[in-house]
Amino acid sequence: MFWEFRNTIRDYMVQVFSGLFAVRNPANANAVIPMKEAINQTQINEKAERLLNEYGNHILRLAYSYLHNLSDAEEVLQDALIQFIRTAPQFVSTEHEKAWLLRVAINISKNKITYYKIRKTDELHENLAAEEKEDLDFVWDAVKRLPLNYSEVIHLFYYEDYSTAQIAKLLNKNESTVRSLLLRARAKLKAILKEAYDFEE
Amino acid sequence: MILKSKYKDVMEHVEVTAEMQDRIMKNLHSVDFGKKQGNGMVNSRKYISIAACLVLLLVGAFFMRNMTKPPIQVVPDIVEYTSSDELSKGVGFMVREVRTLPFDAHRIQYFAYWKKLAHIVYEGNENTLIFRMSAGSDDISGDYNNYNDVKSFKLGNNAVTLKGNLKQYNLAVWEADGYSFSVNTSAGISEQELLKVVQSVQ
Repeated sequence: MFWEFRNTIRDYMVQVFSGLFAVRNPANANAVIPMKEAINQTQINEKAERLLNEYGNHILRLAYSYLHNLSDAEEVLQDALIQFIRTAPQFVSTEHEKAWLLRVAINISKNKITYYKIRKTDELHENLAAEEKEDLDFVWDAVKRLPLNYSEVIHLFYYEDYSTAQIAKLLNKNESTVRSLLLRARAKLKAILKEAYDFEE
Repeated sequence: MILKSKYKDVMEHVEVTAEMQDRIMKNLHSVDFGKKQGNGMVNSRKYISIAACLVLLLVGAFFMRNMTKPPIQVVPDIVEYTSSDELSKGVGFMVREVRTLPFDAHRIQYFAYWKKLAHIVYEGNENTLIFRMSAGSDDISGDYNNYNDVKSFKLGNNAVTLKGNLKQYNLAVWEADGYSFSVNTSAGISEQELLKVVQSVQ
């Protein structure tokens, strides 16, 4: 009786300890960590990599157009990816997926501006100056000096090639408002750039 | 020259580098995406990892503090109120308001920052105006942009400074009765319009 009890206890202890060591030993890790969690982590990695490859530059550039600072823009990109993975929204097309991410990036960027305002460091200006691309630096400086509601429509229209209807949807504004913002933004840019540039293709 | 292609060229100088991608992927690994917790051992491993990170952080912070003066990250204490009266109670002084806006506001939001700075947002379709008020004489606007046009005016006993570009002004700062004030607009407005806004604050 005593030996049976002792063997039961011993078997139990072996199970407990093998479990403990399995956690610590990477070779046995899969035996302990639930498969669901392991798959999810892989899915997260795959999803994040896909989003970064497909939309990373678009989100980063949009955030930069608001914040004029690379580390803040990187934070916006990261937060947008986190929101995407956390929310796991479903879309009928990649265009909708991209628009969702840009919308989130716009919101995060605007929140950052409200609370912290725009920082002084502007790596893009520094890079363009270092590369002696005066013409590009001139354009960036002009866009940067625009009020926020002008520069955002300029970025979405000229960089993302969105129509005024798409911009209106993205910014939750009327299309006529977007058209008028675009007109005013162009007028301001013309005044700054002194007619040196044509706005159409 | 065509602006569109130039602007695209500008933007291509901003890109996700391999290092940035690595940083983001690493940071994503440490995010809890709201999954169900695993068994107790996995939980304890998680907490041990967090504790180890905290210890590393503290040790790192200690050494960094002795080596350099790091920038201070301040987590803002922001409370939203539903009215000016509530905001006044929140900050401990009678908050003034902008009575004349250069546009129609469809939403007004009231915030207290660190229980001492009143921050009111007047949101319109094409412009947004932020009014701030706090005790003291510091510039409380939080606007660190470099403006080309800076003008000073005397309104009663108070000196008001307007800042903007191309005769369109975005910022006004002034002091009165022991308080600092600022008005900030997202889209620039004329000198007269901004002065009218300042005069309407009461």
